Amino acid sequence: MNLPLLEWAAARRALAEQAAVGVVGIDRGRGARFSGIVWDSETLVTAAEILRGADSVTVHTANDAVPAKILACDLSVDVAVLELKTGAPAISAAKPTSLSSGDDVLIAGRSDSAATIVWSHVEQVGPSWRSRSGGELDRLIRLSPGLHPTLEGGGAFDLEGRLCAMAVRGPRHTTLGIPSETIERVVTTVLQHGRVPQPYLGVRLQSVRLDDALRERLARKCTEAAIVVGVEPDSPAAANLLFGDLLLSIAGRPIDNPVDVKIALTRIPLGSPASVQVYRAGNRFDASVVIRERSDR
Amino acid sequence: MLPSSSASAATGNALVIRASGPHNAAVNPIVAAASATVRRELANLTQHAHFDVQAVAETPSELADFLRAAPRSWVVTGGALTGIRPFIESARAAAAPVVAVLSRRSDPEDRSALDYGGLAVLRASPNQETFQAAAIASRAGLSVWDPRLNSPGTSLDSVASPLSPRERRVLELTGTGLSTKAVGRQLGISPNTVKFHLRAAFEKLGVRSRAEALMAAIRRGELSV
Repeated sequence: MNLPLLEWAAARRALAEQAAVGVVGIDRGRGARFSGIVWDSETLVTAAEILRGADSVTVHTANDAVPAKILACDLSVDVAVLELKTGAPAISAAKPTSLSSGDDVLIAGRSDSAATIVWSHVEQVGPSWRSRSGGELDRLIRLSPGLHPTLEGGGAFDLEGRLCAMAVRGPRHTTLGIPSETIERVVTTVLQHGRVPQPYLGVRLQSVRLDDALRERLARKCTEAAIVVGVEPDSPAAANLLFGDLLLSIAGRPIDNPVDVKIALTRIPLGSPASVQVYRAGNRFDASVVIRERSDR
Repeated sequence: MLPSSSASAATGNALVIRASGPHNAAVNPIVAAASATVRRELANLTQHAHFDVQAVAETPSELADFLRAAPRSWVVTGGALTGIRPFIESARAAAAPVVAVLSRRSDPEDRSALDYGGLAVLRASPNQETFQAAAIASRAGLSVWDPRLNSPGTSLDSVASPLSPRERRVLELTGTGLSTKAVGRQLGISPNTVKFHLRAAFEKLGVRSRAEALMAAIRRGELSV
């Protein structure tokens, strides 16, 4: 008998059993199954995109299947927050600094009520980055490629059983981890507001190419800028911005394209004035706008 | 093994049709692009137009080698204009016809540099008929220019089928994180109609997910921020 190996296997099994407690299976209907994470005694999280606009789902725990309401989705960082009273203890999140490339993690989820566990590893950890969906994630976490679809939305746990990230499928079979601190940010906002507030400026924008002379004059490195191609009536922008304005920066964050504006807005407290640097008819000036929530609801 | 009867049946007119028709191996194109994704897309496009891919070149020099080995073949390339220029040059040096499919954001400011016999320049995602016609024309030594590329001063993206007001509104509400049902309730339409509008918007924007659609619509100036 090889005792060290058996001990190693037992330790791995204990971790897997511990991780399995913190995850649920999610059934969107019509055979669409994936996973979710038990965030605390009343809250679950899963990936937003795979919900495809559902407003409730069936949640499978080890011995139960119950309907759960989706509180809100943040598509930009792919996090959905669900309400379900499980009474389970809150998940313990790993410290952001504790994860590095090459670490072993286990990805846990559920297919119906059966726990699904896959040992995986961290391929890459990087600084905060912007997703293709225009969201800012606190860290780049790339996990072993080829995540099984039922594990999407499941948790990636470190060797101490702490949650590092939510596993989602990225482009071209890559597997991305949504960092636990990003999830926490969304959960806190949703529990506070009941939704993900959408900051609103009220302009439609397009990218324009800047010629060299103008770039030099504006002292900009980027060859592109965002130009206003529409101002919505009664919007925060209506008072100060005009069709044809170039937006150079918002609250000190440089603007190179329309998506930059969306991201810059998410960092401005709602209801407080923000300074927008504008280039209009040969002049550069600062306009003050009060960013508010989009009032669609 | 191919039945020998088909070869003997191919006589007279049948042979002529085969020689210019899409199923003859000699007229199958070489797909050339630096990006693997683009090569895959071009291969799909080529196959939809009933051509088989004869070879795949990843670099301009590889393309030149292929063209030396098969001097009568033609080339399908695509992507951003700066990236495909070297491929076009390789083909031009071998006097091989080229069908170039420009990516959505590629804006050829100078048409004259691309205007010569044997080159067909198409806008992104041409339909099957357009692609076939371009292939035939370029191989006949004609110069082809997709009229959708010919709108000086305007952004290509804004020219490409704008979203309908309904599609825009559905996308806008979806972007706030509302469920399909909630969007439907707000607009007084059924969830299925919401999905229909979303699918149409995805198609126009060339995306596959809600989050990507939002970003694409913001970039095009269709949605406000």
